[in-house]
Amino acid sequence: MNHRYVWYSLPVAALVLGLGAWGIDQRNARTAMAAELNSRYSNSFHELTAHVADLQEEVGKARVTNDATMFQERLRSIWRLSALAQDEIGKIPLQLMPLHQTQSALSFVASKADNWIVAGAKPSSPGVQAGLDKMFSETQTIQRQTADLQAKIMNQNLTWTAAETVLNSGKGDNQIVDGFRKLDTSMGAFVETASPESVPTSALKAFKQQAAVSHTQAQNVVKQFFTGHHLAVQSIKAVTDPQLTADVYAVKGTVDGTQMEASVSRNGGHLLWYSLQRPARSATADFGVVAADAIQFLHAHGFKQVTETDAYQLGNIGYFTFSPVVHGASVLDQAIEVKVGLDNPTLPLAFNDERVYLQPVSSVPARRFSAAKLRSALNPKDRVEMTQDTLVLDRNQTYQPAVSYFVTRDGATYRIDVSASTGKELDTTDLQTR
Amino acid sequence: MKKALPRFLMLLLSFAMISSAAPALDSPVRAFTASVMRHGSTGANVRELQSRLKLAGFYGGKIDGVFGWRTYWAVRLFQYRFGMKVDGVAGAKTKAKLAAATKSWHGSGTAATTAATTAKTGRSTSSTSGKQMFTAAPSVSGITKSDMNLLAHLVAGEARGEPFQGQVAVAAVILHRVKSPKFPNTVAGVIYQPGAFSAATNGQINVPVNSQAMAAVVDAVKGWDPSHGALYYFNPAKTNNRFVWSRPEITKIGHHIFTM
Repeated sequence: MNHRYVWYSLPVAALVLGLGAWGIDQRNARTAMAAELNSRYSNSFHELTAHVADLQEEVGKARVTNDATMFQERLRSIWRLSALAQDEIGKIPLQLMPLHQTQSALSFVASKADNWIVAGAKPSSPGVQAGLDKMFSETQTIQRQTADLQAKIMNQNLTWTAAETVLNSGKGDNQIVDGFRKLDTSMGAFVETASPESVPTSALKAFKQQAAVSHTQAQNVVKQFFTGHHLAVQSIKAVTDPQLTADVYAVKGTVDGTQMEASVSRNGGHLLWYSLQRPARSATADFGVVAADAIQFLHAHGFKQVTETDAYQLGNIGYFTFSPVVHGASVLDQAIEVKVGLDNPTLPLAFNDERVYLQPVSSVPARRFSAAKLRSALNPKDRVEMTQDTLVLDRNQTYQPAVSYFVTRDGATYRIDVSASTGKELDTTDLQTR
Repeated sequence: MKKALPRFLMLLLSFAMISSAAPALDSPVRAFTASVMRHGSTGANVRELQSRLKLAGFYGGKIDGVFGWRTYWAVRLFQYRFGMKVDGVAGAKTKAKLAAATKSWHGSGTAATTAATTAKTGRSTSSTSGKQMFTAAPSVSGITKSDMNLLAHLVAGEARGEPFQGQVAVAAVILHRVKSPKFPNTVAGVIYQPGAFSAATNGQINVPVNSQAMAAVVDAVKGWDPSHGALYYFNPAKTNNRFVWSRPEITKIGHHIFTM
């Protein structure tokens, strides 16, 4: 009796085990598929969010420009970005909830931009300005809503597959679906500008012609930089930085007992950046006054005249961006970054001046136009808050003398760089986002 | 006589309480803390500044506690109208003038009282412990807030537990890929490229972002690159992928090897 029981139970157990293993395998496959789908949909959504943010920025720039050539360029960008955003909407898995209004709005933005391109529209004409105002408001709405939805999806770990299930069942509540419904109801519009920042070939060539330094010389550069502090070098390694396409020495060690890493260029032996690995503890200094410490630090390291171009406080850390002043003008493309711990502002947590060496100022054309003269060519709707003499890299990566106008429009701030040599607009920067 | 003593003590105590409260009643309106506010400042003081500027009709933006460009122009305009030095910095003189010009202001508590409460309770609103969670990305030149947010989530998901430099390096790798012609040219495109980052596929990207991850992203955006231009990284204990192992190593930080 017992034997017969054993003979029956063995195949049954094997069957149960086999079915179990198959079930687990199936479940794993389903989970992997769901994860893959979720990832693909997330990609489309985040791409959409990025295109919409870029589009909104580009519309804002088109709105404040008064230069016909630059305006045409902005329009082409608007047209392309709205097409990209429409494409991403098509990939989002909301087949049962078509985003007709959003797509229509994007399509409207694209066709409007196309019409203006074909007609050679002037940026200052009242009709174009009215159209841009409307477009700006629409793109702003969609940009805010996609950004809000993005934050919600990420912070609450919402999944696209759950949204799809809710849509398929025709009932239930889902925050992604609700977010898109809200977006489509209020509808609107959208950029890509962030052209990869590259180091000009001519500048690199000049940089590479500088004499190569040895390990020991690189070590001395770091030692000299930290004069007055106790530096202990632990390692120096020669590496090729593919992003700079230049050889550097990666130096590791300690400064006053804090772990430090620095990068020294092999050509010329310039300290390109350093970073101290310690957290910023309770603030003893005020963010409002530590910029002075950062400037003093820069003075001590050879930057006699700088202007502050940006600042941001993140908890007990202050980030400051400075531009060196050459021939009385701020060199905006030579940003020097200083990260200051509010617990000890005298020795910054990090410092980066690589752009000073990688994008050096050589010959600059003479200034032919005054700030007052150039101002008359700006869009009359822009409110000029401040002007600054600057040196700005043009499309050919050569420095142009410029006047930078800080203008506001409906609360947003833009910097319009106009060449003081040719009178042409060089670029517009949306200071809210870039 | 025995009953008179407690009564006398009560009377003395009441007198002491009233006299200690009296100076506060007579003191001028308390406004702001002693800190100087400027472009880039954040916190309760800035919130009060914006709120007072709004009341005085100089500011039309959000009361968000972030001293951005809109607040900057408002401070400059206020300084100009009141015949002060126009520098956009809210120092002692500007704050005093603004407080005097907005006596009718009733906030939910001045920054000064908030600071006093903080000192009393020992709790700070601007704590920077690594566990502080972020609900919104900061405004940093060079990148959109949505990209900052996405990057910080990826760093939190991929490099949680790694040293700070390792987190900066992971963010830098993504930024390098955005610039590289071999990869998609948006942050989202790079992060969600199929098979590129495990955190994007296993849901780890949705873990809450802490202040350290956000600071790492800001550092990478500002140009600090401990990876020295790396396009790839991997954890040698967790992968035997031949491709990543074949890449020339640049550096090792924490558990990750960064390669070209």
